[in-house]
Amino acid sequence: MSAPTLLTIEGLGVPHATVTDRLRVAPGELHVARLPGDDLCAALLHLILGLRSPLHGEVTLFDTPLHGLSVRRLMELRCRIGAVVQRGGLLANLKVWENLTLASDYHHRSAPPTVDEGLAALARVGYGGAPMEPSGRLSLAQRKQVMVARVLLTAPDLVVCDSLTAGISQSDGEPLLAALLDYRRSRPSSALLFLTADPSFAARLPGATVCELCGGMTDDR
Amino acid sequence: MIAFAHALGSWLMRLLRSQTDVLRVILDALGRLPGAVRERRPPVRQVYLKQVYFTGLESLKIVLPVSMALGTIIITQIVGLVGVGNESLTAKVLVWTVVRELGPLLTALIVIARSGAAIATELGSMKINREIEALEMLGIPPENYLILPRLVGVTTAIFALTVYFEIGAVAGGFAVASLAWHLPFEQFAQGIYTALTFSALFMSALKSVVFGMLISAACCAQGFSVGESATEIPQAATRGVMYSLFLVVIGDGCITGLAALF
Repeated sequence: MSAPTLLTIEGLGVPHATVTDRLRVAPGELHVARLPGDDLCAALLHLILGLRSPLHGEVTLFDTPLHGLSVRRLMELRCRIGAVVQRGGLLANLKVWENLTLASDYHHRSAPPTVDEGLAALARVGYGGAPMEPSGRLSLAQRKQVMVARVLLTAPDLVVCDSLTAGISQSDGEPLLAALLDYRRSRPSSALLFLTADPSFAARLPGATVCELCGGMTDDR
Repeated sequence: MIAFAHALGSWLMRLLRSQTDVLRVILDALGRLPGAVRERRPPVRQVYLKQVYFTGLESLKIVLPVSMALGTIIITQIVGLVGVGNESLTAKVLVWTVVRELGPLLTALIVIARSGAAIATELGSMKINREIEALEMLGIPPENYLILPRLVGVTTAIFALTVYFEIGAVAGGFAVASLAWHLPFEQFAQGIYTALTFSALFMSALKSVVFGMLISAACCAQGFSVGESATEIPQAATRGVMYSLFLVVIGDGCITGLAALF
């Protein structure tokens, strides 16, 4: 009986882009997937979450192929993934605290996070703003901090980060990486996958499995 | 002539397609309603309560003065038509015009002007800023979190506002009748109670609920139809308001016509 996998992708193609290599993420693993550009990182994240359907190739999440899956089942699988994105990710009309607890409150996961747990998660990622700050006023670094804090609270099986440290300073990026690595250590069944176009990113994660997902923007307009 | 016919046909097809979108949104939301009530998710409840507050409570300061003014206008016209001393007919006409027609219709128009564009704009902005995508990433269906509580919230608000509108109109009408023509309260109230039948109240309630669903569904559908350009947001807001107006008037006519048949 083969070991369970959290994510498998192979030979994916979307309009104007391809990811030609294979990636397999199992529980407890730490992966850095390098892609030629930020656009491909975002496109791959969308494919992993089932927000887009590939022209060819297959994405398998938690041993379940995404192709032909019902919306309800897809939503159930997404509940087990924590995503940190380059753009968006938070609802601007909600406060930081409301964004932080939105997923936990909606999905009724065991007991809702306490105030202390939420504040501790924000402190771990280095968020120094007010918990009731409107999310529309946050900087890019603060938005990523809140997204990572939300991941810590929801405790997903698979964490996927799209260009986590892109556009933010090293002093803002280090606490995010440290918090996610601590999370993985505290929850050995979880896995981390970092999608990045930065060739030097992998050096910040000793022990990570690095793979080059070759691909690029195609001229099939 | 052919070009005109072609343009008219294209416009009608676009209109028909947009109305089927509205119907699809309403049916989808009604299908999700039992599950939402059973699951009682706190974030959905918060969106619903916020919608009731913004659409209902904050519109009250517009609805009440308008309704009282309308009541005075109607009473003045009625007394001019039937003369003083015919309190029962005066009250009956007031109830028929306000409770059966103008109450739900004018309340809906106020809500369209105040909240319709806001709903379409908010959802369009969320689409542009990838916030709807963010909800999907969290495993939260946007239909459950954004559309359903808005639809139910706007419907609840319009229903409540319609009640306040009718009370305000009757009170405004009585105030003028009492001051100008010394109409006794007992006779006026007797006329109101006589005219206020179950069918009148049912029509008012039915219209307010139908208008609420049509307005919220039309504006939500237009907000979600925004593509990738920010310039589409005001266009969607305008279409939401126009389609809401069209649907409310057509809906009013249909309900009134059906009621007359039965």
